[in-house]
Amino acid sequence: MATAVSATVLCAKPNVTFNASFVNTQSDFEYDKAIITTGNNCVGIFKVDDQKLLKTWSTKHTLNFTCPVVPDFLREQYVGVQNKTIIRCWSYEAENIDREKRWKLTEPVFCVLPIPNSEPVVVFQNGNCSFLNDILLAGKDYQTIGQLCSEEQLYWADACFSENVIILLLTWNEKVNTWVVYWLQLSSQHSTELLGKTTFHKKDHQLCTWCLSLGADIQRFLTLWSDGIIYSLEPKNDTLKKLFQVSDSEKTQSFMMTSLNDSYVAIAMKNLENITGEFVIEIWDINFCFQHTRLFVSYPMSCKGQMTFFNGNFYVPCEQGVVSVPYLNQPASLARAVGRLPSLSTSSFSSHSEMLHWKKTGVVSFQYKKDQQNDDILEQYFHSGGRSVSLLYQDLFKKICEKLDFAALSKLLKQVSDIPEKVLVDILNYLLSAGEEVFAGEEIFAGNDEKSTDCPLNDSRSSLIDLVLCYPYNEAFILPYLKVLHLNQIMLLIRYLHYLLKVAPYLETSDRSEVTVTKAAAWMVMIFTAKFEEILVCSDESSKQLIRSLIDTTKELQKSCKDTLMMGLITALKKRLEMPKGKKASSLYCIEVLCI
Amino acid sequence: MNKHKFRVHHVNFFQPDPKSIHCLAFEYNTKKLAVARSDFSIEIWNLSNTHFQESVIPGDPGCSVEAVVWCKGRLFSCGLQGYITEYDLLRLVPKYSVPVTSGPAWCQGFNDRKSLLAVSIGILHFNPVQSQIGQNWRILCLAWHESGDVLVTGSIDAIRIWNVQTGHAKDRILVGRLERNTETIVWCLAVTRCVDTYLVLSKYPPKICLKYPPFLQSQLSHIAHAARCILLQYSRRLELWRLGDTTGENGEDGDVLPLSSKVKKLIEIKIKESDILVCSAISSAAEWLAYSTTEQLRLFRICLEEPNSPSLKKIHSLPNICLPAHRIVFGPNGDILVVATQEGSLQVLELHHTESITCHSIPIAKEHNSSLIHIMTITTSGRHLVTANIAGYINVYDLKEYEFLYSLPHYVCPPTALGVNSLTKSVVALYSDQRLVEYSLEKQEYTAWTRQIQKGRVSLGLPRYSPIREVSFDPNDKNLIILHDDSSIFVLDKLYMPVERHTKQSRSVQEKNVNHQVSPEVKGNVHKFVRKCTKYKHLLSFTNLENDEFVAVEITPSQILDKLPPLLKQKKFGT
Repeated sequence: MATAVSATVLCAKPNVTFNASFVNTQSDFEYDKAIITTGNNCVGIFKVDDQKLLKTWSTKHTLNFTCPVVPDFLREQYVGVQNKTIIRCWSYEAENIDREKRWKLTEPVFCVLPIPNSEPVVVFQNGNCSFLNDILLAGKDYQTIGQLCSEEQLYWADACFSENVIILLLTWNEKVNTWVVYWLQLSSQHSTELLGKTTFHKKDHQLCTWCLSLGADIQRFLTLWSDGIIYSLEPKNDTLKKLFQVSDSEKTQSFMMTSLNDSYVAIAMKNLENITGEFVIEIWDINFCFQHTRLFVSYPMSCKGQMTFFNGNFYVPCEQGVVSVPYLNQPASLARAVGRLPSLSTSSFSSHSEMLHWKKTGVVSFQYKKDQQNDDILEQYFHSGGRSVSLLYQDLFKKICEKLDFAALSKLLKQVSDIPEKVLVDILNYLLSAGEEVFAGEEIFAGNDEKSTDCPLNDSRSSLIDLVLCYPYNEAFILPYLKVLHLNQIMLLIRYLHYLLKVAPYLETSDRSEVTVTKAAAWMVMIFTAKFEEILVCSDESSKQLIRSLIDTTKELQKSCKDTLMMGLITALKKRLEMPKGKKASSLYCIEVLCI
Repeated sequence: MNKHKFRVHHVNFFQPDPKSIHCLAFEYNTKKLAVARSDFSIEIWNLSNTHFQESVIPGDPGCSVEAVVWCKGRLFSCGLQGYITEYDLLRLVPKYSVPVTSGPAWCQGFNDRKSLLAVSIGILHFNPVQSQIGQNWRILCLAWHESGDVLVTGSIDAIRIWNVQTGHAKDRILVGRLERNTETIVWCLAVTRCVDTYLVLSKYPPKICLKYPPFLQSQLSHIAHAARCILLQYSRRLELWRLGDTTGENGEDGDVLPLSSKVKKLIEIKIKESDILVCSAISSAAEWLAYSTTEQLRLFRICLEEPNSPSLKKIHSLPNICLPAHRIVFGPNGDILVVATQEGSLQVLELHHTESITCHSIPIAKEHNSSLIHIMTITTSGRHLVTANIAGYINVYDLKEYEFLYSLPHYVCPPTALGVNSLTKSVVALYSDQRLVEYSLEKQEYTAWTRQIQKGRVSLGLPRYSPIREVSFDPNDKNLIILHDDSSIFVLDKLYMPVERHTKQSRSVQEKNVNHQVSPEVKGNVHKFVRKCTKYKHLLSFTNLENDEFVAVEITPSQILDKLPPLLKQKKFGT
């Protein structure tokens, strides 16, 4: 099943100019609260349902958080690491964390891992792991025993609690260009035991994202590679086990993965061809390897960061900030999965893959083909109930122009009601600037009468421009975009509008795509409002002739028209064409003599 | 004596969008005024002498500025994203930001001791202890009692008085309603900002009211002398225009000469929506065009050989060490681009016709690195670079050896305009207190003329509150110095300087002498020495093009009014 979900920005992104980024989102002590380390110096407690910041702490600028702040469930306090070697603990009531307890260590800390119902585990950069209390008691005297080789760089760590604490370390060995996974066990006697070590790499493919999947008695390290295939690794195994391939892997980028429980994993991905700017969270059953559901989220996903899931919400780093996506996981029956498991042997997913598509009538499947792209994009929009539109149209319009698919453009202008003004002007700009040869042979615009020979544009081009002229717009929004149109295009549009003023019907007909005199006059007023000075300064003799002829036409129209609205527009146009009192063309530019 | 006659290209089609003022903050000790505009940029004005816009912190569209406040020379803002931001006033970038409790922040204010900062609906202790006053109304303005124990907030229909220690409201004053169904909103009242985007400063004594137009005082127009083009810098685009030409040589003052070729727009470069344009420049022959955003420097090669289809090519081979610029200027031959970076360093890009670029760094004297370079100019020989910064330092660099040469004697006020006279090989600098100095680059000392001015305490007759924006020279007359401020052009003729020595007289007596009791010869010289033209209003630039041709870029008040939304455009009687 696929569905669009209502996600909300939980925490706004800090100003990008001072290199602050979201570090992580962690579960707080209480349900519905999240700890977000929002940058190098800030950490906040958020109430997720209310999207409210409850408490925030910031630190001196000489002390930066170098890993996410985590809760210590045992002592109900927060633990942070500053400048890699200072561990700071404080309670919710603390007001200034710079005044709270701190412990200075000699060895740099990689991160602190929260363990539910237990105390946190501190992971050092050399791979040494220890309970927080042991380190705090020893302080500077704490001696670490490195687990990693000198060529290995620690990349990631996570932990889980079964009988003992199991810790996973992911490292990169620069010397041999391989990934290494360490499984460590931290016993209640505070001894560390190496359960397993696996080295892996995949030729020609990059490791994109990973997560630890936890069960009562099974821990699986899941990895997603650039070919879209997910592999699993268990402590006792030495090799990666292939699980499944995510949908449309060749069209996606910016993967993020997190585990929901021992059966489900969620993969967030941005589809390169999904022009709405939104991203998709696919939830997969890792036991039976089928796609459980897809969630569409209307926010542009960030390129880096890690998605987390707790207390019924996904927390995804997006361009606007941390976005919380509510999700109630309902286990699917195996029967629902039958027939939906993509074949791993199919390598060309992009050309002919099966995907689920949401329609009002229910869940259907259809074949996705590249050559039907534009229509499919339109279809997706029409049936999705209107999602984020701004990015959709910009990309869609670009694609239409690339393919010269004027049928799709016509369909877009006729059937979609909320094209932003910027895109509308982009379309107009394209239609006015494209060469005549582009429109030659286009005969898809049935229903429009053939234009007379006086028309400065050919039928196909003028029909499309008519659609733009008839499209609803807000004058305040469209004016700034009209200002950037080139003078040549403006003059061509004025020529065409002038033609329309002479031939267009006064009253609106049944065909709503037909330009009336009122519409043409309204556009003409707008054009002159936006570009009057430039037209005045730069126009050549033929342009001046056009404006003189336009003045004559408006005078005639003023005599003959009776409609109040049109009368107002024609009067406004006439006024616009007249030079303001005391203002000459030379008032915008002249060469004058100045004697001082 | 005959008047000086110039042919002036009067450019009136440059119409940047004025940005309204959102909020203001003035710090008495430093005499600095912060002006936040609707594009979220913050202008820093120095009101110590002339009212001089010394720097601008570029606005980030994703980070609104709803209130600004000073604290001991540090500047803080808050906005709808719910962050308090402190700015680095040296580098003109946000330094850090701290989230505030409960979402958007609307207003803020420090207590008298500057130890506590109250922000919109919550109170944030300054460093950074936090507590919260519980309430359910949007606070639109606030003020501290001088004791620091009481905070007063204004909201809809009410003013509330709070105990800072307990966080409880002590009192509530209902302000009443003029109309039953219309709420009375208690705004933070201040007389110093206008809906028509002007910054208005009033002063007493004497009672004066000064209006400053909503445009950056840094250069927004640049002349390509050899190509006779002008580059206009808007907030989101750049336009390159070819200036017109005339065959007319003679005429009386105010005569418009016939055009033999018209002005023409050649190129328009749009800036990405996510980018914030900081500065731009064009080379003399219009072969190169450069601009910088807050993120990166961009360089383009222009080809104007085809009159009807000028082409623009982006140079992708900029060295990685090139930093975003705060100011840029091309060398006179277009062979170098000098970049004053946002980091405070100086870089010189060697430009080759093969489009390969070499980058050199010039070390800056440490003691002069206390603020960013805000004015740069290169001598016509291309040998020397002269820079000025807000701290009052004017430095000379060698562009062949890429080294710092020497500084002009330091003055406490920041320079507002700088020019190099190619005929006399001297630097002319105007400081914010209207002090004018001429410094010989050859002798490395003030010129005799400058010493004469200083000794004689000659009044130059320059305006007291309006800073000089630009210095230019007449290439045909080495004795002319041409200055302009917002509305006047001043032509100083060094030949006619009134020589009047004063000994131990009070200032008022000296001024009286200069104006009234001097000999007729000296009095006549005062008029010949400084000539003033007040023909223009909001003159952005007055620069020499070549010979007797100058380019004046003007924005009229009516053009600013035309840009305002209809509700803000108010027709006043008699205007």
